[in-house]
Amino acid sequence: MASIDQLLKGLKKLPAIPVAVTQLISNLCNSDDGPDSEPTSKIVRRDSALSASVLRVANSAALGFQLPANSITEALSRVGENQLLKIALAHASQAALGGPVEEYGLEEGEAWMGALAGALAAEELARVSGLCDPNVAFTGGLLRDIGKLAMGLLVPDGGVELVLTQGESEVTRRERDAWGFDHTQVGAALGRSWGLPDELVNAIRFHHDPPGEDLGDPLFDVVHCADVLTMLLGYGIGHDGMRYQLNAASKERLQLDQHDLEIVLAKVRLRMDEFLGSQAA
Amino acid sequence: MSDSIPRTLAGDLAVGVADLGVLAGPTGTISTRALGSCIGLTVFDPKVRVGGLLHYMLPQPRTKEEALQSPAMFAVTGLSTLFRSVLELGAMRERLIVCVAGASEMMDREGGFSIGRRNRLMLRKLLWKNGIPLQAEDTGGTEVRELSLELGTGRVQVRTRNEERVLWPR
Repeated sequence: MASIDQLLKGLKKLPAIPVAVTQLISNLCNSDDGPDSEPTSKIVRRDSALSASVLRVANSAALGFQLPANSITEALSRVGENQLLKIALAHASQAALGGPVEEYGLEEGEAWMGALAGALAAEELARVSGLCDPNVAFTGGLLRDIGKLAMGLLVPDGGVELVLTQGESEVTRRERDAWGFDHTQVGAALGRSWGLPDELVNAIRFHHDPPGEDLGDPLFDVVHCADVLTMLLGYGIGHDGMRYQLNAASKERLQLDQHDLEIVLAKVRLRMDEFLGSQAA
Repeated sequence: MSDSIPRTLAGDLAVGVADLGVLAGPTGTISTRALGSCIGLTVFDPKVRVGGLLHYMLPQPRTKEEALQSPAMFAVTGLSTLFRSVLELGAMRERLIVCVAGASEMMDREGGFSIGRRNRLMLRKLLWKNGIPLQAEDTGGTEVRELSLELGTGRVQVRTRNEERVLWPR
């Protein structure tokens, strides 16, 4: 049987993200800049849509500058490197995830809201636990469900919706029973085709079922718990509903108690407004 | 959230997550989407056709700042703001019809992330403490819900991906 990578390669058109963004992600995941890494500002300048997003945020009311930033250099100095990466990633994922994902019952913008909430939740969980880089966690949270974009291309018309809406067992198990793969495996293969670093490919792969301590990485636990928090908040839920399980060991490893959890949920909701406000400004 | 001060504009009103809204009729609809473990609560006075909807996320604030910044995020602060707002628009407490939807759970009952259950328990406690009866409830399960209140008819409706249910009138 063909591997998922081979199946994806056989498709005429795959969901895509801008090249500039994969370069930024790669910079983010290799914090000890190698000789070949290119400065973030240079990557941004080369992509006009990304430059426009950065300028928009730099001139947003939220930052409170009186004079407008007219150059990318000025914008970057106002926004800061970390924020820049998030803008770039949000921009890219909006291009890929902003539309409807009909097979999963997600209307225009719903997958994107789920991606953004997951990104912010992962970032907060990484901060609270102190176990992984919040920027990498943001990226993992943002991209965790990209597999849903390609599922409809790999299975017969209407197949996804049928499998999701019938039965009460966990969604990924039903997907595997029906086709031999689930949306986390497809997402990982898509991430590989985009050239994402291994740790993010694996975070996508394990976002519903993180492996135990020996094989795991705190990033997988963070992205998994962020996915759960996003569902609890009601973002990005389609035909699959909340038919997933929380991995209790994952929660234990992050040492999250009810107090931490509720603070993270409240923060995510408040930061959704901030983030969307700065994007729209 | 930042706009969680109740609004009284005529026409239809969409209420976001951690938000609330009130309307003075005689017509118009208040609705909210994406109720996961959150709870949506509608109140309606059929005589004066005043209604409101709260979409809260958590049982109670951890700090005073949280409560001030976003009262509609929490059951404790959201309920009192909602009731006060509809009473200010002419509703009478004893005439209010209260319906509730949401509080969904993960398949393993959230394995410790028991937000839906805690949200529901806090609501029950607050209503009981204040002597306010609950007319209809559609909570639990694994579905995400939408909730709406039509002021013209008083109809309260819940919509999931697969079906629509009328909570009131029954």
